[in-house]
Amino acid sequence: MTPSEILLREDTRSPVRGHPRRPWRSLLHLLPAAVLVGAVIVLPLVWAIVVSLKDGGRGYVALWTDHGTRNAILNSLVWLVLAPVVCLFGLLLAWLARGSRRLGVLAAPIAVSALVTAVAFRLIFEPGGPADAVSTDFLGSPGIWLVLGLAFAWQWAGLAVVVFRAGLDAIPRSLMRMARAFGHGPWWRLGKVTLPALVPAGALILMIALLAAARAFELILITAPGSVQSEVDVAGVHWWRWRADLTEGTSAALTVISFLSVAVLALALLWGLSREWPNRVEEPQEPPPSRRGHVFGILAVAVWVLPMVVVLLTSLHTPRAAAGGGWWSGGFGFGSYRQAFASGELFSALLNTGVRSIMAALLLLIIAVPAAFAIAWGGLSRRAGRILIAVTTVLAVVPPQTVIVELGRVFDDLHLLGAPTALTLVHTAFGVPLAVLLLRAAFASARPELVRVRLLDPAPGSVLFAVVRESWPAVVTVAVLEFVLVWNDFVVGLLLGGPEAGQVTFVLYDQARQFTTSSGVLAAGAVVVTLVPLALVLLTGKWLVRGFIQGVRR
Amino acid sequence: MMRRRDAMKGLALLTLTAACGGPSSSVRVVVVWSGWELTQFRRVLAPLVKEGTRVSVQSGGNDLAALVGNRVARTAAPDVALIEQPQMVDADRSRLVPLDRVPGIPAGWADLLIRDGQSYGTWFKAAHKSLVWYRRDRLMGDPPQHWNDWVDTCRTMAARGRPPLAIGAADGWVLTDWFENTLLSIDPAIYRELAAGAELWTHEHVREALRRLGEIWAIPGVFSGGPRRALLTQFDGALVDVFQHGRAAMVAGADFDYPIIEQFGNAPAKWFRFPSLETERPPLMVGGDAAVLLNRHSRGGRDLITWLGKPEAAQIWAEAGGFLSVNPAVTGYPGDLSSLADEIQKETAGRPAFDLSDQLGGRLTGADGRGTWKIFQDFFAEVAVDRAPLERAANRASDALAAAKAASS
Repeated sequence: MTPSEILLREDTRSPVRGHPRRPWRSLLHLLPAAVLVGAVIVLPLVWAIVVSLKDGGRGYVALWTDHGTRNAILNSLVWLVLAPVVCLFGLLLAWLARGSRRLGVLAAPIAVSALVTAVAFRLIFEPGGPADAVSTDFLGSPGIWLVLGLAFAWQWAGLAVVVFRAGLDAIPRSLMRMARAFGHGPWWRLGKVTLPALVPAGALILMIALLAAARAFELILITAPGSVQSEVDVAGVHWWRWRADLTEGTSAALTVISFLSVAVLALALLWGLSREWPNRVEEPQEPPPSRRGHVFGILAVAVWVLPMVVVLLTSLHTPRAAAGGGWWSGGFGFGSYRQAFASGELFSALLNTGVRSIMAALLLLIIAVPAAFAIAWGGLSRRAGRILIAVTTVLAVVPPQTVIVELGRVFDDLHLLGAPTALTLVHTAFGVPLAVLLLRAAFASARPELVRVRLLDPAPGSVLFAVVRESWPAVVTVAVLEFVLVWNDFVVGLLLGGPEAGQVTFVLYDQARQFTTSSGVLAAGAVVVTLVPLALVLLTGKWLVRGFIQGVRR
Repeated sequence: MMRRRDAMKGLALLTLTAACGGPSSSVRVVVVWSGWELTQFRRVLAPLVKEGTRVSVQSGGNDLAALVGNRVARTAAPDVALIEQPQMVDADRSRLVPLDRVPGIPAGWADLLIRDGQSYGTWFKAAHKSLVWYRRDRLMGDPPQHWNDWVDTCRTMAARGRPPLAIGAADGWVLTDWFENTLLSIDPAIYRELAAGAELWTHEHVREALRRLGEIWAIPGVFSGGPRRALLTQFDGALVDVFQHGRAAMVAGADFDYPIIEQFGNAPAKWFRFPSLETERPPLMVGGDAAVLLNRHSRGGRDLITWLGKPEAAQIWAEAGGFLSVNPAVTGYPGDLSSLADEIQKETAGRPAFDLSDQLGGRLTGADGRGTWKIFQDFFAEVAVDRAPLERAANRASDALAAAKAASS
């Protein structure tokens, strides 16, 4: 008998009811999300699959016989493998640094756009940069893989550390005590108690990392110099650059393959997300401070702030000094900032992107909250709920490239929407699946007695509001994540928004063609552009961690 | 009360404008330029903006072709593109709108954008791409007159541990420019035929041009920081290496390098023409940017292109440097760049030797990691990094070019 079996558990599954309860209301709750996601993701996805099969699947064969596409697909798979590696690294670091406080800073890079991350790591590793003392060849082959991997780890491992740390703290002490009392050794405890307890949180983090890995685009575009671009090519970039050379079927097949590869992994993760784990019966306790944890914590934080420090210092140099590799040496001045703001583009892009991000975040809440509630408490059958969650999981990882061509066709046919409006809607739609997954898990963990009492209340919506009030950290998390994703977006804006979109990342990209001589202005722009989401994430940091944890308690 | 109504009206108007895709006088433009050059282009557009046209400009950088070819949604499609590759006229021809011919543009230039008797673009900017920039205080001896002098200078300097050259090999077009200059010296006729689409990539003269490049690229110690580092350095980085750090003496380039040298260097910018053998004519290879219209209904787009075709528009950028015009009416170039403009106007009046790689379509189209850019970077790595025998490397590169050509037709 394992300790978890004799621990008091509360059944948190949806309450069994004696009579069917207004199922139409759940359908109504699901409707907006279904319509939006159906129109923006599902229909174009189905159509892309149809197009890819049009010539009898020859498109798929062509992918494999063409050296370039094969290389890109294999590289994309490498990125997908990178995601779990980064999560494991995060786990290791969380374990090493336990007992250390103030690790929250490690998660800050989730607020930093992939484009700014790319700028930071290119500044560090380019010839003449800070890493030049070690080797000048970092951006060449095969060093570029290390640089890209580090950049990716920098962005996502920190989040894993923070969430795993919270997860470790939340393991009921009683369980550990019991395991010890039964005479089990540390390895047994790790394998049978600690790791299983981390599975749900790990699955969520892994899902987010997978999503980011599958969408790696501007990170590659900016970090890798032209001469190594073909080596680090991935499906999404290859599709964008070479689409004119591919037939319609092959081009669709390429995007479908990149969708399928990540969808399979996401479904495997679903198993982890749906694992049951006893609810917390005691408040988490801070682990006793440990010297080793403290040292590792400080070390990790120091390494983690380094890229931002390099960007900040570069931005504080005149463009001339920055071009000469000055991030440490003389030539300080605000010239780079002056130039970054000179054309007025940056300022108007900040406004544009800010409005779009806020709109998308609000719209997302309006649409995703009722849908998540319907899945959690709407009285759906267990089976229907499971299917819905599986579908949502798959939809959460659809790469924009897969659906964007057909989506563009729809916009063309309707020609009702100007680019900025359309962009907000599409961003919202892309945010819905992950938001629903997170919110559903949070809602499902609301106290059942609270829900049971309200279910008898005739006023519509009263249960919904009660549950939302109970799970507001998750709601905040979803809104903040969406804001950050929309603010930092590059690909969707590039493909669907055009020049008019006024996206902040475009203003940075406008500087990026001549990286060396633009590095000062680029760094200044990067600092300004990062301040907004970074401030938001740091301000809401405490709730974010709770939101993530809540999002995996079922 | 009134205020709320106004606000509602404003909101309704906002929605309406958003719904109609913006006012008719708004133009979406994509360009290849970034950074300082983009700022100059915005200055050129300023008079239009003052008159009330809303212009949004986006830089496509080296992936401009992908951005222009991005036919995802009309909402995202640009109205006007400033292209530096005339091959894009062929690639995107179904979407391009024929334009009126502009006075002041020499016939040879205009021909580059004419298909079936219709003109699809207006030249805005020209570039002189047969230059070698150098700094006096780093160069040993006088600027070389001919190819062999140049090779000798490079050998001597390299042997003494003073790297003669910097090269931005991370930008594939830098390498294709080198090749185009040598090929143009050796056989202008083949150059023209290749530009017209002939399958002559395995021709002996192509291989000779490649070997000639290898002659310099393979000299041990010829590049500051070594060839590996050169492959990670962009063209602007190479200019900084020479004119700010003084790590090398010369860098082959174009007139648009001038403002970078002025802003980031601390030595005067001097140049000599890209050398050829004593028996050959020195090459003059040119590049340029033409405005094309992608949206038939965009009045603003037409107006913008008309403006860009005028000497007054060109003048604004020309005075800042890094910009040449084929129109003799444009004056006021800084430094002694006006002599470069003269050279372009005189020597290319009949038939300009326009950048060859920019005229090649299909699988040869150059962009980061693809086409000619990639093939020449591979060639560079083979001769300069791996030190492969010249003959073999040149043959392999010319075979790769031929294969890419065959695959795209």
